[in-house]
Amino acid sequence: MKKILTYLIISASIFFLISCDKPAPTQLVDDTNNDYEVELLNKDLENQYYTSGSDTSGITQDLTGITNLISVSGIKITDKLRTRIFSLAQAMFFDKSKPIKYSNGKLLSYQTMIPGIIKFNGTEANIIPYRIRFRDMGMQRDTLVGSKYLLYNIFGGFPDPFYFSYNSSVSFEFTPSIGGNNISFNILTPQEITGSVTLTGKKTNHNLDVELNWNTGETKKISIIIGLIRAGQLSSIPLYRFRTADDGEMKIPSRLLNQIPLDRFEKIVFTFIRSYESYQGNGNNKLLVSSQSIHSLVIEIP
Amino acid sequence: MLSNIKILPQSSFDMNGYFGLQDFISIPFYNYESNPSNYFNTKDWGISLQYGAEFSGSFNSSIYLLAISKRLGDHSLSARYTPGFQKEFLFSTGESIVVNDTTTQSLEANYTYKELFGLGYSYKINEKLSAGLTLRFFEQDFKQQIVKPVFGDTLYLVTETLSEKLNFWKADIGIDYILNDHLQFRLASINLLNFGDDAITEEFQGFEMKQERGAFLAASYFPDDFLNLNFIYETTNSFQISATGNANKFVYGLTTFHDQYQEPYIAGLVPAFGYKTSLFEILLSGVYYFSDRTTEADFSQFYEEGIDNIINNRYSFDKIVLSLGVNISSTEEKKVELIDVEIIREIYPTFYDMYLDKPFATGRVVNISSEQVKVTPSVNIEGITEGKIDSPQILVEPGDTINVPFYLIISENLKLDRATLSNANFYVNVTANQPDDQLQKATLINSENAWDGNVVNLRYFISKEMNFSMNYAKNTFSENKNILDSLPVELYEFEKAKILFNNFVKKMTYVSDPRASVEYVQFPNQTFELKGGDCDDLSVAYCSLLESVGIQTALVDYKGNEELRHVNIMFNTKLSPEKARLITNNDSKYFIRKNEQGKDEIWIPIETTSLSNYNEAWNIAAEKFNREALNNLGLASGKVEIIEVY
Repeated sequence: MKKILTYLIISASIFFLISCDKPAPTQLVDDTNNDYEVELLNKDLENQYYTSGSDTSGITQDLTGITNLISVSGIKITDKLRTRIFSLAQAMFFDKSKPIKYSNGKLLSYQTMIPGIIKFNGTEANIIPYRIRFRDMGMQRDTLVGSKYLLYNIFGGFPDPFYFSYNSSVSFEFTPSIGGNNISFNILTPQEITGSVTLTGKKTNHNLDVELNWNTGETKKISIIIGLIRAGQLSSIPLYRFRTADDGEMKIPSRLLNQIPLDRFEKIVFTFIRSYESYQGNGNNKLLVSSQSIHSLVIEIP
Repeated sequence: MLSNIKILPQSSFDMNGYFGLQDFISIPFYNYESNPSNYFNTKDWGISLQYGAEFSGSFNSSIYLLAISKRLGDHSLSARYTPGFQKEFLFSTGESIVVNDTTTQSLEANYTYKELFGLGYSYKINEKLSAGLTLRFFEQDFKQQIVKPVFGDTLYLVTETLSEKLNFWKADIGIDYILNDHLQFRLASINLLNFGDDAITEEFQGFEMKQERGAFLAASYFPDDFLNLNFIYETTNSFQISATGNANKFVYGLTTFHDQYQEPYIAGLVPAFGYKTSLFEILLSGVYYFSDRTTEADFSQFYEEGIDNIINNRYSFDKIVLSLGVNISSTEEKKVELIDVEIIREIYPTFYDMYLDKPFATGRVVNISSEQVKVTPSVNIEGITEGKIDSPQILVEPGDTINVPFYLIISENLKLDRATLSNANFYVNVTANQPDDQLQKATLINSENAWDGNVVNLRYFISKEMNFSMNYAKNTFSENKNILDSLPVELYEFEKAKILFNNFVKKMTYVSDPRASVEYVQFPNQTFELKGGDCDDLSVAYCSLLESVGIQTALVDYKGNEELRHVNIMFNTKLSPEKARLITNNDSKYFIRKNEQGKDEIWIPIETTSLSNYNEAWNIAAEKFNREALNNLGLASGKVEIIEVY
């Protein structure tokens, strides 16, 4: 009996030694389209000016000037009183030989240039000064980086006769001032986006809960930007950008809202952006052509 | 977010297949999945190890199970450690964070479901019915990365790993019923009692194992050893069908199963093949799924349908499992059965050594093993024997049924003044350890004065109180010292007998046996105490006196018929026939018998019930002996028998 037990214990020990594996795991691949990507847009909640490429109008701008930009947008802004509709077209071209830097030497942007005449839907774009405001060494600064092309329409044709049509196209024409061929093409526009927000809980209780819904479209992904507005101010501070499937619904992880000091802010802005983007050219001539349907909802934080 | 995942931790599926309630192999009983009633066929200690490997593209081997069982009479206990009973899922949470403006980091989650150990208990209510329960401990280990804002001087998004361990116990009960050699049933619960932790972290809620209650019914049909058919039906609408059997020392089985949560309809097969000796068992089994199994799967299906079992679900891989079982038993495997015992002889405590030669009972023993065995019958009678009394070994061929005798030794010092009923425990042993089988019978033990009517057995009464007789004779001789001193040596025996008898009869009266139904014989001291007795008692008392002083005696049994039966005695005068004239001139008053050396010696009969004097008792006895033993040819016909006391 003793012998048997000894053999048994030795055999079991050997088995244990060679059997250190565990059953194989199963990797589950997400096929639900419920995934999302989150990006922090602004590390400084005191800085109401964008430096990271987005503002709450949803316009994507690469201020470091790596790409030149042609952008057309259909914009709706809804607050508790009404919804205002905007059409906007703009273009910016950067001179990569003229950088603008922060005090610490970090690149902020490049100076812009005006290479010719630009028309959107046949209307010549205005050339206006292009200023950016940013925070540097704790101080607010306002810098003129050059000029840009702009057409916008706020009240049914005022001030510019430019109208953005959803699910359609905007024609673009460029006539260079220093010779060369004219360039023209159509910019396809996305389907109109209309969002809604269900906001529950209280910021004082740190239990805000947000569910977002929108009309689904044919784009694969949409962007949702969350920004905050201080009491008595109009401009918002962009905080997060989410990229998620254009499937009409998303729940914002509550910890992303409730773990920031919301008591400093009065309103929260949710901006739904459905866009088409394409790049043309490369190197210093790389050009981003973007058309966007934007809907921003401004809501008082309960 | 994910609140409808159906992760059931149990069904009746196990990795050996279902073998029913058979006695051949014990390995399948360590699977609480199909054996929640903890039914075991081990006789003492049992140990089992299940070691196996999954074919998941790579070769993952692990110890699935290490278990121990112990039988304590009708109680069975078991415990098992199940390090290989686990299923791990790795998946993306769907959340990703943009870092350094361009790089995206996806957040991962890891959910592991484990059954760590279990305990089982069952009670055999009778040969047909047993019931039991099993208690199992599960652990759920959840880990998930999340993105979280941290606000200081500036705002950061950081990734953090949430983790939570949830433990719970579950208990199930089952009843096993063996209707006959061919039909067996099992009814058992699934997730009857569940108690433990609930997920606190919101992210993990909904991923816990679901504990939906259910039950399963199993039925087995055993037409013979070669082919057994088993069927299990679960209330989840899953079922298993198996064909099993054994031949010589080999066991085999093939189980097929339909799992409500797996495709196709018949989800897979569990073949098994094993070998068994008296000490160990080995069973090689496998699980083969008819659907393709890969290490990647869609989250949406996992979310919508979940899994129903840790070791058998849509994400399980084909397996091969080597199961080892060791049966360590201080109770050897039963090789013989004691079918019945017949008491063939009543027990008379005074006949203390009679049952050494003559069995008092016989038992019918069958050799159920496949080998020739030596059976040792033994018996223990409460209050009668001092421990078990072994009878000689008997050889029994495989399959044979024979009668075995049970012999007995009764303590000489046993005192029983009246008949009692005692339990006699009969055993048959093949080895020196535990009996293979035993049987108990109530047995009548007569009082110490009871006699079976066989005159041969009066010698037990004669010898019982020899010290008393010796003292009595010595005292009598002391009183007659002068007579004895003046006698010739040749007449010592004759005169001693005469002195003793004349003294004896003065104190005695004849009293017939007061007990009508059972022969009753007094010991010599009782006869002297009661101052009388019947022919048996007086013959016993006088014989005892003579024997105590070295005079050889014999009992003369006049059988006649039952009512007229009579006993007197004769004794050896040690005189040679030539010296007969020293005691009588009448040749018919003595008889010549040869001693052990072949020398003739004179014996004279004495009628102990003739309580007048020695000569008259002699005359009466001689006359009776001549008439019935010689003239009527009683000795020749057997109607008269002379029985040596020693």
